[in-house]
Amino acid sequence: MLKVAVKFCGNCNPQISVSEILREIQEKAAGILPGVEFVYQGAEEADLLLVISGCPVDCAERPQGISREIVVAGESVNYVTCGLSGLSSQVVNLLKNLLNWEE
Amino acid sequence: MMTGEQYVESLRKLKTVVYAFGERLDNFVDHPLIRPHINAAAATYDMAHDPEFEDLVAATSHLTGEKINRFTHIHHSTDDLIKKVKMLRAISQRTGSCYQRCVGFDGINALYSVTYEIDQKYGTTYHARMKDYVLYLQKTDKMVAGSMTDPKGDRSLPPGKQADPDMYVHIIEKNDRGIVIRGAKAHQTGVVNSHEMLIMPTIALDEADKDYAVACAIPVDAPGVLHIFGRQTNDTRKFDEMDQGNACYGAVGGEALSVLEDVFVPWERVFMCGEYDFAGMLVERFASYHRQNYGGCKGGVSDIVIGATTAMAEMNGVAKASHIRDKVAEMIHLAETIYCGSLACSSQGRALPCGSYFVDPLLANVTKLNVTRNIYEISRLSHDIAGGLLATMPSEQDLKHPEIGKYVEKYSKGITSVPVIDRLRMVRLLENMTGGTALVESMHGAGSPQAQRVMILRQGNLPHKVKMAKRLANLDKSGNER
Repeated sequence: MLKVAVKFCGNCNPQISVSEILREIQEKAAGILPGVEFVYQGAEEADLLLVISGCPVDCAERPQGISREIVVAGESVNYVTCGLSGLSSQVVNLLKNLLNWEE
Repeated sequence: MMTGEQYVESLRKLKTVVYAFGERLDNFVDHPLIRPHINAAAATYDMAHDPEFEDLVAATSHLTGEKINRFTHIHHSTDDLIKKVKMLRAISQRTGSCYQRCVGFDGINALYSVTYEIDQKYGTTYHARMKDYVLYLQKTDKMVAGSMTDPKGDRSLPPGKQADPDMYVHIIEKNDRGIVIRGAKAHQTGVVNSHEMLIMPTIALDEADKDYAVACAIPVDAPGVLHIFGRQTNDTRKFDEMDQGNACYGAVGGEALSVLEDVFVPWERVFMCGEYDFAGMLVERFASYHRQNYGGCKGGVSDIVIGATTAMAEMNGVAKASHIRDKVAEMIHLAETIYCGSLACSSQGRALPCGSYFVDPLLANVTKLNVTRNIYEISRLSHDIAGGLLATMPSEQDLKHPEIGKYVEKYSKGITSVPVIDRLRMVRLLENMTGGTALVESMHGAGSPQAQRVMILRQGNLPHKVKMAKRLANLDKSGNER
């Protein structure tokens, strides 16, 4: 089981649709990662922070208490550019690796 | 924090006296003239609860540590100032219109710091009262109208020398319970759909005018207060749908003339009472905070204008023409330039004696002065690209008319793949966002251009510039050539 706290940046002038990206991630994860739960509240009890920022500035404020994070910032994941179409797959791959590692 | 719906319902409980078109409005909340502005303000409540936007629209209170709506927050870092600008752009991108709440936000921040400094000099207790008031706002999430602009009468005369002393709000009585004020506040953005008015002086004052040195908070429905809603260009279109352009959120803020006819204010809501030597500081603080905003909110509104213009070019079949692309690039450049200004004055902010943060006033004034030009130029380019239909399009009623509607539809066609109604709706959106009241607001909102020039000259460090020039020109200290 992996509890993932979702945090958005606030979207002042987003280059990507953050809600659309999250929806894609959730849809892809639903089929292959049943042990992942996405939450908006109660981040302090989460295992991982998924930050989805609308642009590469990635100014989203991080809640305290979570050391591990995956960061979508514009068209990058963990600051590596992967293009709009590759964002959700890349996040799901990282989640899969984390789950495998946890097991 | 209230939701948008709770905010709207809270307005129904008030006894706000509102007049428009020569009538007193029994139900201003659902009135077509006013409801779009209420919807825009409601967005500031809803977005604070939305996970996509809460990082900007919500904040943590420095007084309680609790989560609050940012519009009730006191800035305590440059990051707070930057987030304010980003929040304004985000909300503007949602509403395409003014959501009015920044004026009171700027008022509480200005008074929070100035009351501290008054207390330091005079041993008064205004800052503690102001803290209590901020706490009250944070707990209740009430909307505050920042009420600074007086009618001013003869601009060449100070308040006390006016033929009518009520041209500036002034104290007419003090007693053991509080004060009584009289006058009016003009151009009051969002006041009819606010909960509170934060009264502030509008100019620097001297001792002769100390009765005009008054800052206080009153409910918008306090006895003696009435609001006369201002007309906007095309405002009868609010009784239509498509022809409004932005039917949900309207245009600009919904301004009113607020008359204060012998209004009682209890001492706990009085934040300045005769300290005339702090009036100028308060005006400068408020004006700078407010001018900081404009690259954020107008940047976001411009994003919509640029989007609508580009859509119009596509619907007209000219989107790929090089001169169109060049003009759109210029519009983006102009919009991002004002946004740069707002971010810059925020990032160069500094701490004040009370611990709150203030923007760089020179850069804030430069930002607003650029807005008075850039928004007009953005609008001019949008008109250039969109075409004359902006000014000549038949009405919604003609489009729906059983006999002539077919002609309006046939001869309003652009490219074949786009339904006529889509093109006409886009025309109306653009028309209403780039002309009339919406445009004038960019000129005079947060103060007219000359007010910015006065502050730019005051802050511009001109002697230093002259000194540098003289050094390079090899002149001696007396100014003579060596």
